[in-house]
Amino acid sequence: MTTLNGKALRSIGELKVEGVSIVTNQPITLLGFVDTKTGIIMEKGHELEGQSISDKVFIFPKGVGSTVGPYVLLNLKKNNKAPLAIINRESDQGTIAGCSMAKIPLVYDLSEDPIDTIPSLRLVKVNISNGQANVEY
Amino acid sequence: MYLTKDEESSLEGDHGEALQVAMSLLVDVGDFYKADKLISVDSAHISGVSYLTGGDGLIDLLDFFVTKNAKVGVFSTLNPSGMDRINWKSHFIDLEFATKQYHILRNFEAMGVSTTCSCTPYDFGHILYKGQHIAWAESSAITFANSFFGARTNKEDSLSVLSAAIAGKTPNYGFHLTENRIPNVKVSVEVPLTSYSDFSVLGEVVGKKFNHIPFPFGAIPVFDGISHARPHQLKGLGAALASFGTQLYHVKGITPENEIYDKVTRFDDECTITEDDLNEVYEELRPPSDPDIVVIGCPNANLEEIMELEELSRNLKVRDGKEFWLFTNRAQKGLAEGLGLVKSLEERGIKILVDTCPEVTPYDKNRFKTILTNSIKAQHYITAPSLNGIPTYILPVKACVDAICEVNT
Repeated sequence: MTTLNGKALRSIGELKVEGVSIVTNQPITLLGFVDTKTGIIMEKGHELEGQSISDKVFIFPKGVGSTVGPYVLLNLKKNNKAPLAIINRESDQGTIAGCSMAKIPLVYDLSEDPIDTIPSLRLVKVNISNGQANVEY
Repeated sequence: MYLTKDEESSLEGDHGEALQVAMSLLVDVGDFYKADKLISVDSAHISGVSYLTGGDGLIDLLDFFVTKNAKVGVFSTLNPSGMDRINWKSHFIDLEFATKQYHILRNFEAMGVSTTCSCTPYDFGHILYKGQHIAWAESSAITFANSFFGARTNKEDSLSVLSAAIAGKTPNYGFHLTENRIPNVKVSVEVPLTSYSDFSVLGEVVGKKFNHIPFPFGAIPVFDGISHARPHQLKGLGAALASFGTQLYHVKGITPENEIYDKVTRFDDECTITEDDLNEVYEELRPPSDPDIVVIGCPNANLEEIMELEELSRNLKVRDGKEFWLFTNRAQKGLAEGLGLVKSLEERGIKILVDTCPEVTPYDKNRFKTILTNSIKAQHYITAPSLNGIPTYILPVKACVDAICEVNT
C-alpha cells in the first residue's frame, strides 16, 4: 500500500471514498466530448474513448476546452454518472469550479505524479480533510 | 488566501446561502491558484446559457440560486442562448427546447442579469478600459477584452463567473497581475491578411504550433508584421487562438499594452507564418461537397460584418432548399435594421438570428448534413460529437456566399 499526500477542495470538508481507478495521460475536454447521460468519453482518438468514468476514481492531467465545461460535471452528477473522485496532475479552473459546485471530491498537488504512479483498475482510497488529501493505492 | 472579516462571514453563511455557495467556490479557485486575496470586479460576462450545453444541471443550479434570492452584485451580461428568443421557429427549434431555454433566461433575469445573450458584449453595454479588472467567461470575449482593450480577466468558467457576479469579486491571480501578461512566444507574420477568415485561420495555425508547451495560462503570442487589422478580424484571431488555451495576445503597434510587450526580447518559442501555412488549413477544411447551410457570426457579427455581407450578396439569393444564417446580437441587428440592411438580407433569403450563435444552437440533423462557415471556432465546436456532431468546413465569407447563393433573376 502506497500513500500520496496532496491538496483537496476546502469546500468538500471531511470525506473518505474508495473506488477503482481509471487513468489517462491526456487532458479531458469536458464540453462536447463526455456524454453526460452515460459518463462515457466520446473524444475520437482519446486513449479512454468509449470508456466510462462514472463511479471511478478518475485520474487525468487537467480539463481543457470551453468555459461551459463545468456544467458537464453538474450534469454527470445529476444523472448519477459522475466520477467518485477526481485526481488531477495540474488541474484547471473549470475542473476546480465544476467539482466545487457538484461536490465531487477533487485532489491536486500530490507529492508524486498520480498518472505515473497509480495504475488503472486499482482500488484507490481518497481521504480528504479540510483542504488536505491523502491517496492510498 | 486572505479573506476580510466580511468575506469570512459570507463564507460562513451569514449573508445568505447564495452568497455562501458563491464564496465557497471562489475560495476553492483562489486556494488552487495561490491567490493572495479577492479583488473587486467592475463587470461580469456569464457563459453557460444554452440548454444544449448547460442541460438540466444548469436549470437546477439557477433554480437553487433564484430560490435563495441570489442577485448579481455587478453589471452582468449573458452569452448566447440556444435560440433566437422571438424567431426560434425560423431556425427549427422545437417547443420542448424553447421551454427549457425560456426557463433559463427567466432565472438569469430574476438574478438581475442583463439577458443580452451574445458572445460579443464589448460591441454594446460594456465599454472596457486598460487595466480594468473584470470577471468574464466565454473564451473569445476574454481574449478580446484582455488583448484589444488591455482589460484584465482570467478565463472564468461558467460557474466561477456566476459566483464572481454574485460576490462582485474574483481571486487575484493570473491575468490580473502584470507579470502574467508578458508574451512568451513570438510570431512573425509574413503573409498579408485580408479577410476575417485569414485571421481566424492564423489563430488555428499559431494555436497548433505552440500547443505542445504547457504554459500555466496558455501561450501569450506577440505578433509582429500585422500592419492593419479591423476589430472584427482581431476578434476572429482571438477566438481561434482561444480554442488552444490562449487568453491574451499582443499585436505590435496595435494592441495597447506596449509597455509590457516592447521590453521582451527572449521567448520560449518563435515561429514565422507564411501563405503556405494558411493554405494548408484552407485545403484541409475545404468543403468536399455542396453544403446544406452557411452559418456566419462566430463570434457574433458586428455592424461592419453585416454591411460586408450585404454588399457581397447583392443581386444574389440563397438557392432553394439551402439555408444561410447570420448570427449577431440585438444591438447590431437594431442598427442594421435602421440602415435597411436587415430587409435587404432577408429578401435574399439570409436569416438574421440573435440571442444565439452557430455553436450552441441545436441543428436539425435530418435537414443539415454538412455545414459551411468562415470561423475556425465554429468549425471546432459544431463538429464536437456530443454537441451537434455535424461535419463543418471553412471558406472566407465571400466564398461561403458564392457556395450557397445564385444570381437573383
